Amino acid sequence: MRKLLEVPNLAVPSKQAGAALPRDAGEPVFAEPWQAHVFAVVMSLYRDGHYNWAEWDDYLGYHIQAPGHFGGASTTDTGGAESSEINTDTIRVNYSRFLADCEKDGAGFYHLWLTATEHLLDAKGLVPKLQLEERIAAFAKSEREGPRFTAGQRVLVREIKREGHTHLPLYLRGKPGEVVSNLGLFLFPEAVGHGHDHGDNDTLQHVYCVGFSASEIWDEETNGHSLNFNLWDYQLQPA
Amino acid sequence: MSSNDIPGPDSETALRVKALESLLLEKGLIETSAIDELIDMFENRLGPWNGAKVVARAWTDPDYKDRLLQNGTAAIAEMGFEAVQGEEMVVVENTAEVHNLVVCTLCSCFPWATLGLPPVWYKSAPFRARAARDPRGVLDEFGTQIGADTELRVWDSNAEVRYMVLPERPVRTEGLNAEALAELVTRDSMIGVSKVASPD
Repeated sequence: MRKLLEVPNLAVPSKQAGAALPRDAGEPVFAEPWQAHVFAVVMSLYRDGHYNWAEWDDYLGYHIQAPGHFGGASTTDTGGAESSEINTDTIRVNYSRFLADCEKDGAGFYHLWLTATEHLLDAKGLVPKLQLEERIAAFAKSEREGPRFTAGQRVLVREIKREGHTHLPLYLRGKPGEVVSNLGLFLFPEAVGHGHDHGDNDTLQHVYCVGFSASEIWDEETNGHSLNFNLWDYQLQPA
Repeated sequence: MSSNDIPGPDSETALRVKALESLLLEKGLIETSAIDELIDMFENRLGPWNGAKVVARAWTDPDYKDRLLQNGTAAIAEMGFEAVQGEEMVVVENTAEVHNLVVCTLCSCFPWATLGLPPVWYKSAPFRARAARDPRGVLDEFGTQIGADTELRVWDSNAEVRYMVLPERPVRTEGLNAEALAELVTRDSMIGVSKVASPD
């Protein structure tokens, strides 16, 4: 079976021992793993020469200065330093309303960073907007629906008849088996390879390891061994 | 935020980033290992502890301090901290007479090599707007006292130059070596919103 196209996992590498010295308020560099990822994506594409820094800066600046961004910011409000208003969510002593406003507004920064990235990548033709929206919809769908099958469930391989590479050998079509494990979500190579969905199968699918008994596949006396095969969600139906 | 950019919940945004990353991986425009390495670099290797070493050396080595104030980029590179994007570094010194404060009113430019990524508040519109117009008020918000006759200089990193403040060495630190001094230096003091406190 060809290498599966894996779905990125938005994990953040673990800290190197001894390297993570405390920052002033002990706050993390990135509040959420997605922020670290969108930041690194921009840096990686820049480093590989897909755009220069001025270009990127131009897009980021455009979104930062979009109408409304400064709407909530007061340039004259100096009445924030009320010592009675201590935000218990933070360890800063004498945390003022002004600083709380700064934290709140600044927390949206990586959203602007992401918006600017999407805009720049669309403008450069690297990731067209439509393609991104389709992919987001595929991810949302799979997240909403979850896996169809669980380990131990009896399933039947669908009788799929289609031209081309279907990733499904003839000998398994219509055969019953049992789900051994859910291998996780993967990008379906046919959908990705052709650049569009086939209609009956999703871009993003769970792949299951399904166990078959050799005697059930070939309907003859064999050594009684089992055969474990990886199958895409669309290739299966409940038994 | 403009009304078009009102963010959804983090899970929705995480989905967008995942989708974007999956397309970029598929097109061969990024690699997982490069993304992990960059995150590690900014989480663990670039951070204010680098700037603190520069400051502590400047406090203990007068020749180095001269070089640092003359040519920040070269003196910082001498310590092994290279600018990520080749940006130029200018170091400004806080004294009893002069207090410096750094802001980027246009976006969020920050001396990554010495301080890492900026804190959340540094990137916010309220800080950017007020630091330029009412820096004394901003210092007050951070609980930082400077004399009424202290000259206040605000430096805006709006173009290619990145600024870092060389804070004043606190009192009661005469016996400390550079290593011990570096532990006292905070990120905020190198932005200029606070001073370095004396050891307890």
